[in-house]
Amino acid sequence: MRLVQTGDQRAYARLLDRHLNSVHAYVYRMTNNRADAEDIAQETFLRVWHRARTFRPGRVRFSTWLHRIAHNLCVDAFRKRRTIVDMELEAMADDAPGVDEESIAEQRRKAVHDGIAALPERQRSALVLCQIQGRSNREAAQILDISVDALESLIARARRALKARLSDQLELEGVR
Amino acid sequence: MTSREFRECLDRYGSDLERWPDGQRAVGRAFAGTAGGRRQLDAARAFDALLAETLPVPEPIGLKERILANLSAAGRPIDLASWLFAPLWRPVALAVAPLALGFTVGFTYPETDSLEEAVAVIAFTEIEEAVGADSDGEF
Repeated sequence: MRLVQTGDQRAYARLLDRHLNSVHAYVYRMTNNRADAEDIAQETFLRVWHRARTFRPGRVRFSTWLHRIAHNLCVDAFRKRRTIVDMELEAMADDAPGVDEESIAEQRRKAVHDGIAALPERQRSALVLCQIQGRSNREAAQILDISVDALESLIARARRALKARLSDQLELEGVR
Repeated sequence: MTSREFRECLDRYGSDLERWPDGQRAVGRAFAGTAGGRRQLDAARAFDALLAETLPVPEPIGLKERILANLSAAGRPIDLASWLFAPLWRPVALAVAPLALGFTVGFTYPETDSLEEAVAVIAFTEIEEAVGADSDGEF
């Protein structure tokens, strides 16, 4: 990151290699839309380039800083559109086989995907960062700029809502 | 720990007891040894396994290249505040620059004994040179 701060494009390309997939995955889970995810991931990294000098290594990890930028851009996008509730599985779902041909595992994956997408934005952020991406509660709280306690509360609510939805849809035993 | 508290912890921290806070982990493990605890823990593990199975994220093909292309096109704007205050050497350089200018000016002009003479030297040097060029030094 220090090299990026001096304007080194090669270092920036290495930064992309290391972090682009993670940021894109987070944004995709948040927006559930391929085009939006790519736009926001791109904007995130352009901001990293333009604002590299504002990053202070001692204060926060780079990954945390980066994901906070991505998260804030997601929130901005939600505010602008407010239609994110109208989730769709877009091209990926279109390419998928019909319901009759789908395996049970594929149905489960889609149900989980849709269930996560249908969660309220803050619950979805908390769940994706901690449960899907495996970040610590502390780091996720820093990304969302909330307390650890508030984050854990969001995770608990998200898990309960998702369990209720999935147990109804998939008739899972003992999950609720 | 009660059954309800255990379920609350499972919801907050997940089924991996290693991720639980230090204060909760030991009592959580103890409760997980009971029949009710074991049942809840198994259910939470099944749920976590389900989460791990969610649809994969589509690969962002060509995104890195597009970002780098935009970067080259846009360049990096000059952030004056960052330029002035980010690295330490810049404010130091700004402070030293007038000092260096003062030394340069001081050593450029001839030495004088008094303040009045110094002022006169600075004030009339250019005039003297200009006039001297025309009148062979008579002033």
